Amino acid sequence: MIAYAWLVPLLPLVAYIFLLALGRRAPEGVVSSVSVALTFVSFLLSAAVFVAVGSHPEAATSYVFHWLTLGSRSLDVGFSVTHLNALMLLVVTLVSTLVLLFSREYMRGDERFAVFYQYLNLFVFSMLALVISPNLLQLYIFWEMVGLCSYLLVGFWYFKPEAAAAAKKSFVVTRIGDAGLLAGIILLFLASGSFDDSTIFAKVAGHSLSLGWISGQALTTLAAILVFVGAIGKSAQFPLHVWLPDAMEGPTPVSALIHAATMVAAGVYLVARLFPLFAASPAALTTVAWIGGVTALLAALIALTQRDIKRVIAYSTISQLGYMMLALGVGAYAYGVFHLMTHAFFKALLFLAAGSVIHAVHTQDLFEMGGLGRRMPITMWTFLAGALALAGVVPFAGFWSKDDILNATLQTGHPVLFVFALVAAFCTAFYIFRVFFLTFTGEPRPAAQLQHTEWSEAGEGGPVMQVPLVVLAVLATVAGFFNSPLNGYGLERYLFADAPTGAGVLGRTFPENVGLMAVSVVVSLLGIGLAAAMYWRPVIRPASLANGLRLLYVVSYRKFFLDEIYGAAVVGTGRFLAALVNAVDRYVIAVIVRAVGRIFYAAGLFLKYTQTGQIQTYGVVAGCGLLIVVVIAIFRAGGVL
Amino acid sequence: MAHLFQAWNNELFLVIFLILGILLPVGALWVLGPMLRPARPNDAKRTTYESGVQPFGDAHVRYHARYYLFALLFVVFDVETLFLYPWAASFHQLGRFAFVEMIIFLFLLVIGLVYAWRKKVLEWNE
Amino acid sequence: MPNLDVLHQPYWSTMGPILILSVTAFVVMVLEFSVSGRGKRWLHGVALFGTAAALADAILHLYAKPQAVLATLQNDILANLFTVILLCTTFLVLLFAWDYTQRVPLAPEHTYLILFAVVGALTMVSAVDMVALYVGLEVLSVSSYVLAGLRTRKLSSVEGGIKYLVMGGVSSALLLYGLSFVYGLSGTTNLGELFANQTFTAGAAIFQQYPAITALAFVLILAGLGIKLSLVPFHMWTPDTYAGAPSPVSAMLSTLAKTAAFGMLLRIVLYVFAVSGDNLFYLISLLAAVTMVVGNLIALPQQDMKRLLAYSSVAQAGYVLVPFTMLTNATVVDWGSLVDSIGFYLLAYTFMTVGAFAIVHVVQDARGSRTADALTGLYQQSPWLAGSLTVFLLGLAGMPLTAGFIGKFYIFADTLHLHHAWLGVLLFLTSVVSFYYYFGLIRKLYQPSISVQPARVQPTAAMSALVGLCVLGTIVLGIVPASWLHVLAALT
Repeated sequence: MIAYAWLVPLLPLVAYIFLLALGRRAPEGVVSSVSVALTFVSFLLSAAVFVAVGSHPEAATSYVFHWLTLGSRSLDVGFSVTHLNALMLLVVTLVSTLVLLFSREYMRGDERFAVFYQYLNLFVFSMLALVISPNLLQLYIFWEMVGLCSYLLVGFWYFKPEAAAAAKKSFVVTRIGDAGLLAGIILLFLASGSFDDSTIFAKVAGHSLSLGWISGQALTTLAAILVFVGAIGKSAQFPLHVWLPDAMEGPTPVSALIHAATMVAAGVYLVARLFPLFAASPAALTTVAWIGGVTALLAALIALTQRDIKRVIAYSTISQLGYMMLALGVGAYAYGVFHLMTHAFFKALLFLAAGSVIHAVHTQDLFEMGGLGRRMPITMWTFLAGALALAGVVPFAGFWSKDDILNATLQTGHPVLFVFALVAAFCTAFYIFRVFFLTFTGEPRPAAQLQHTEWSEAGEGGPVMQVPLVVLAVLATVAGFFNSPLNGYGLERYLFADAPTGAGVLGRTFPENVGLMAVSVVVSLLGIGLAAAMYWRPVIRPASLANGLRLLYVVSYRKFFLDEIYGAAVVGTGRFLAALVNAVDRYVIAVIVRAVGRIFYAAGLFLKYTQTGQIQTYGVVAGCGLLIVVVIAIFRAGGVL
Repeated sequence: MAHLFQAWNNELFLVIFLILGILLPVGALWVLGPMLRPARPNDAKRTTYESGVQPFGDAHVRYHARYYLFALLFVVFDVETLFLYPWAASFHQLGRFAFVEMIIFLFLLVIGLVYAWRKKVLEWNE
Repeated sequence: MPNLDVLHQPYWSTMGPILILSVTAFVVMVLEFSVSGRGKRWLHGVALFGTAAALADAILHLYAKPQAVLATLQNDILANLFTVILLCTTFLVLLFAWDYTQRVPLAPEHTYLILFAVVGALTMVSAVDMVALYVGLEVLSVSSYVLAGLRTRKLSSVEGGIKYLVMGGVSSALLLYGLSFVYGLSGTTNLGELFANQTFTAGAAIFQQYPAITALAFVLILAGLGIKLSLVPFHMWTPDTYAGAPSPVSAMLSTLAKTAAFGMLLRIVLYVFAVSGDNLFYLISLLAAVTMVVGNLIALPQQDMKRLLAYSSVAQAGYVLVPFTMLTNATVVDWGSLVDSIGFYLLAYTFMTVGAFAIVHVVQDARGSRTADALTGLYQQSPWLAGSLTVFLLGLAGMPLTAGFIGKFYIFADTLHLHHAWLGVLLFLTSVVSFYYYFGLIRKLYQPSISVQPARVQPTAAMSALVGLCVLGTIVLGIVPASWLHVLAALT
């Protein structure tokens, strides 16, 4: 079975090509059915692969074939199945299937329905291919491809200026990270002579990475940090997180699939996959942990005050990705991956539910909603499951994974980060229930410009939208048990089964701490309680609290002014640089380029005019050419030239 | 002198033959001829020799393109004869292989003839 | 290294593809003049069938033990390799011709003329005797002259045909002159014998004793084949002939004729000059350099797409010539890799060029113009055609993920490896120049057309098959180069 894992990414590619062949005016039913069916088959295959890898750990391996020869080094392509990859395949195909199904109704009637599905299928293919790439070069190619798909999908409604700007911003910001990743990969290639993970790990473990100017620990750290820069960009970690909230301009299914469950998790996946490299460098691990911890807290604080439902969830995504990085940074490999999985389910759920709401009321402003619970019970209950999972209430999925991370952070001796994570957990519970109460409870608050008929018609989407919600809600409720004492920490055992050098390198597991569990549940409940007190049964008036904490409120609402700071920094230094570059460009480069271009063009024109159409000319040119060559040859042969 | 002669042997012969080759026609046509023959021209003598037929028109006429096709066919069958004769002369020595080869050759030529026929090359009218 | 163990017995299976194609050609010829009217539609089918059979035969005997017929035709690795490339090309060209006849009236003779040309081309790549080589060249050339001028009512076609005829005559004369010097020096027309003499006896001394005559022979052969390959400065007939000739014939001249001429050059260079004339190979690098530079520069201001493709094919021939400069005795261990580079590039080039000519032709047919502007808005109208043309142009420009990139990459790697880096750098720089004109066409494809809706472009089934095959070839060779390289590596 494992040998057929390549079929998993292939099927979405087949769907993509098929849709491409059908053209952009293909009937919606055909387009979506084919996509969902093929991705679903992919999911079934992934499940089979997942099981097969679990039952035959020794069969998990790479299948590569020779592609190109670069001097003495050869580049291989192929695919590789490890326990981590198998899990990722399962998660990605599952969420993809549900999102593709959901989009069928969400995107109904869109002029570019078929194009949307083409992009989505291309994305699913790229993401799956990224996951099972056997080496870093192939991974990088697909890393760029998912970035490209994200760009296309964020800017899908390109006629909206915000969407076009957001697409550009997301592309540019992640490019910064990608540059770091590429540099890291090249550095590793130069130092180890291979793009292959296992070769690199072996060299890292044997301390035999070396280059002329750097070697040993410093090289490992540098490479790890460079790779991590790529992960920061893709997973929207501080300070490159600014693109993700803007990316919410894309259609909501895209946000659910790409900007919550899969692509943004690719950064976490990258760090997890290269964990032996990071583990070899304490400095790199510490960096990962701190970036993760800071991101988790910062994004949670920002999410407290946002008005746009999708932005709240987007900041929540950033925050949760921070948790995953934190887990990896403190060495709790399995917990980071575990949280990645649970988060994929409940965050996709939250986005889809939010999509369902937006679909119904055509606004994204929380304060223009309210009271939707009565009209949309299924959406409300599924959203509630997702919210409880995110808030970390026992026994929902998020509880288990988040508690594991808190536990690991505390036990590895990172008290500051632990406090960060705990505060972030409180904020998380608060902001997600703020969303919940504002959206589903209370009285409707339709904005003036919204037509009342439209509002009154707001209701559940069809079954096509409900099925994915329900499935994800079930998963958000029970997925935590995959790695709980109840099944003997099944996921950990699964993930560590093929650890190349044992769990010692891949990270540790930690004894349960029941006290801490209680603390984290209490913190979550406190957050929920505060949200309820402010927005459900208004005991505390939000406005007065905001006024009381004016400064903090503004700081959070304006996202710590990071956009402004970046703007200023970019604009300030940018102005100077721009002037400089502009001058150089205009007076030096442009002149040279134009001159070179003109010279070539003129040479071409001259040569063109020698083309007289007279065969006599042709003969003369050929004859003279021949004569010159003969003269050169004869003289050379005679030793004159 | 002797070995010099030997060394230049080939080239010397070449030069001698070259000179003779040039001198003979020039000497015969332009030098000896006019000296030896009587020069009594009249109109009948000055006409172009056409095997006894009265010449008409100019020598610089344009031939109809179809002449070339005839010429081509003629050459084809000329060459065929050229091959056939030696083959027939030594038929017994050459054996079956050569026979088959010649049959193929003739077959191909027949195809060519049929082609020309079908393409109305053999008909003169427009 | 080729196995030169020439067996002096007639092994007719050696000639499989040539015999199959000859018979097919005659069958098509007889069919052509015996049926009339609608029956002639089947000619292309029969020709394609024969080509496919020949290709199957060639592939079946790809790794067969090298044998020679009467020490003249030999099925060694070079022959097999080039036979496969040539037959693939033939298949594509015939498909193209089929499509062409459905749009433009063309004398049906072209079907078997193409086949005869291929028979000549196959002879050129599998003959090991100079006389047979020359006969092959003439069979190819004479058929090509007729094909180039086949649209007798179109002045430019006749003009191109005549120009090709004149230059081709010069080419044959030069080549024959050069070959006669080789014969004069060595006393044999058989290349196998010639090679064996040089290798095992003091035969090499002949070439070293008369360096000037050897050089002259080399230059004459190079110039003779250079005209066929349209190397600068022997290239000037190319745009006129390509622009005038029917498009399938242009495609054939730029791929099939060149592949055959490259095969012949490879054979002569390897058997005659590589061993004892390797002080002459700088001449090839000279021609390659000039060809790359001039071919690319002159294409820059070109607006007529067929002429542009003609110049591009000039430049591409320069790229292929680069590995030839390194086939000297000093690098004998690397011959295999150099032949691989040549074989890879030629197949890749075939797919991209035939495909590009085909789409240009379809567009010209539908829109009545052959200037780059005729491409405007093609993407909106026929995204598949536009996408395919994009693939071909990107491939010709050498963009990654296309066959052109891998082909250039291997040639480039060879130059670095064998200390001809300056040629590699020149190849790279001239490729950069070529981006300008290829991308100019691509930009036009995606520009929305501002004028009235241009005529709709309609590909026939044959055209769709042709373009599909070419796109497939370009992309598969670009993504999985190993597929073809394995064959090459197993051969060489």
